[in-house]
Amino acid sequence: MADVKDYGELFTADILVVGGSMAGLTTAIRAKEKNPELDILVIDKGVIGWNGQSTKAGNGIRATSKHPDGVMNALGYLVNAHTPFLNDQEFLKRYLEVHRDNIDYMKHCGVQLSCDEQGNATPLPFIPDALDMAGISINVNAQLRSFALKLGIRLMSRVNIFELLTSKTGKVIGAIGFDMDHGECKIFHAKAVAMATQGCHFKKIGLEFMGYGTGVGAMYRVGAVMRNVEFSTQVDVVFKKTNTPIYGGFNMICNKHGENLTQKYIGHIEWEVTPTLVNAMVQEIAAGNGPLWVDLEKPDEVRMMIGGTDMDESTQRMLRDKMAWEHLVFTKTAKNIGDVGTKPEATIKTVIQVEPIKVDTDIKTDVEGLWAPGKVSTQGNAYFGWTRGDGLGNAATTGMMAGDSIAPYAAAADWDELDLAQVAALKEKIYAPLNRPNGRQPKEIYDMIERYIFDVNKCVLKSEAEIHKVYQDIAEMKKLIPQLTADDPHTLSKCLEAADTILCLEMIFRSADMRKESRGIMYPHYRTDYPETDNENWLKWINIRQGKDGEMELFTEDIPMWRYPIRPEGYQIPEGHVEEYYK
Amino acid sequence: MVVENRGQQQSVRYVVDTDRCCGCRRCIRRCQENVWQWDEEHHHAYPKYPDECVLCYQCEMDCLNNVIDIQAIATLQVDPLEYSAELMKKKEAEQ
Repeated sequence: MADVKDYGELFTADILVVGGSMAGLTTAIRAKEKNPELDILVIDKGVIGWNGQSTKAGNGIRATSKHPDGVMNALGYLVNAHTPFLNDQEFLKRYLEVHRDNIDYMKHCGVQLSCDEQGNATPLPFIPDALDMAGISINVNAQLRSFALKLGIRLMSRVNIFELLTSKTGKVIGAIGFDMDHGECKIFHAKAVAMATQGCHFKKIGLEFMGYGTGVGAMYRVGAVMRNVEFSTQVDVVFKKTNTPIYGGFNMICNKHGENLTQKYIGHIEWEVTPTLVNAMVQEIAAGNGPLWVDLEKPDEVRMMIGGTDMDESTQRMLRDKMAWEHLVFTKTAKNIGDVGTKPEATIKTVIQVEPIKVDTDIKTDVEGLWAPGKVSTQGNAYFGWTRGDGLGNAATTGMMAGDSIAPYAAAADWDELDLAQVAALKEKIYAPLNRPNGRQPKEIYDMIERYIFDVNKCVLKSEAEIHKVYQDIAEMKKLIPQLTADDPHTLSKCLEAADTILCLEMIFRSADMRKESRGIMYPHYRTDYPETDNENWLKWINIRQGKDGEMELFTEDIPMWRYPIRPEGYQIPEGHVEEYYK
Repeated sequence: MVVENRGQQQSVRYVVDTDRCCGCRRCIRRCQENVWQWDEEHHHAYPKYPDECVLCYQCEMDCLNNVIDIQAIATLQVDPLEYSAELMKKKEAEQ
């Protein structure tokens, strides 16, 4: 009789956490502290402690201000600053309450933080009494790893997961993948699974750290719902020489005649790089008015605040290890590429990022037995956007929320049997590219996707015509997937990642096609054919799930604004609903 | 050992003094993109998959014997503005 061990090495745990960076480790620690009886296993494709996005974070960690109005002040800022009115404000309120404990809880876990002599973090100057910030060690994961091991949490490094296992009722009960050194199949059986796997990130150049969408893909295939995927683009103005951001310098761009583009095209200063500015920059280049440049000797107020000394209060408390790393990156760049000078040429860098898993206030997905803490759910969890400047705060908060919820669930849950036919089929799918004869390389797909990021009419200034062209490209790329070949674990993972990156790309453009308006500041969705924000028809979320026929299914959901404190100007409660927000 | 990788947008050269690699494997431990692998035959770490590098320099930062020198050759080989402007001009010409 067939046994699961015939397909690979089997590991069991009450809770399986996939992803051993800050969000995954915090989830595990919090769950173990809540119930020390639970057997918890954390796995990661890299080496737990030194790997993961948290070890590459340039910023500190934020926490909601302890001011009595801190939660509401932060809520007001976030709803307006990110993508106005599309946040789930009930989620966000709960999130900000837990977020208040970030710094205290990380200290409790042995993480090195920098606060003042009274133990307080520094208020962020541009959002009074809303958010505080502390410096944090670059070795945050090594410190969490040490704390997790002391609690008796098991850790397993260099195992890459590609699919989730489900019970007959559709509950998530495990995962399957292979080890990154030898390619041996590893099967995990658990009562509950937390996927702290990062999202999908399409940019593969300097200091843009990659997720490849394999966690998103695995969760999509077991029925998790995705949300807000159309808001996936962010543009920075960068030094053309180094491709590094000119922080806050986007209102200072001039053409070769010395004309300022913000004055010429917009008429007032902006606090983000808007689609209008991107359009202006492309038009100027097309008209032969390049090169575009900035005068660093004449900083304006935005440059002073974002890129200048005004941020020192929060940056001064950076710990020495992180400062040393940033200094190394800076000096190496200057040494190899050269100094940018005082009147450098400017261009843009577009970042596309999909982190769309919809979760509730317990960080639980729509699928039984499945949680999604960390960056993978930042678009879907209604914090909205990628928590720019606070990836670490998001990891800590969602880890705490997930840990508090997954522990009692796992303690009460029964063991469901693994489905051997499912294990066999998924193993076959995962290993299919191995030694495929006359195959194609996954790099072909990544280079095609990278060219999307160069084309502003596809990733920033979208239109129906351009979106439909993308559909044709996606269909072509999908044809390449069954031809990809690998001869080692690294390239095998690249083949599988390419398939899920295409899936994420399709999610962006399907949602962008559906949303017939423009909205968003920090992570805008902009349609040249629908350039205005339409609060009358589009106070809605676009959700995505895999339909029963296996095809991608999109559906909208009205935002229950009548339950929320922050509403658009002139908002009227629709017929059939009454005021439900009470302080 | 010198490993040079020419990518679509970014090109990087790794200069690794493999004779002095002490075998601590801290570069392998740090790399998020699995660039570094261990050469069993010659007993040193080396950048097997340089195309994955995101230039975080943490392998160089952690290297116990200071034998890694990462040299960015170019970080921006395609200017998105010029690329998009060319496409727009081409489209206009077609119309």
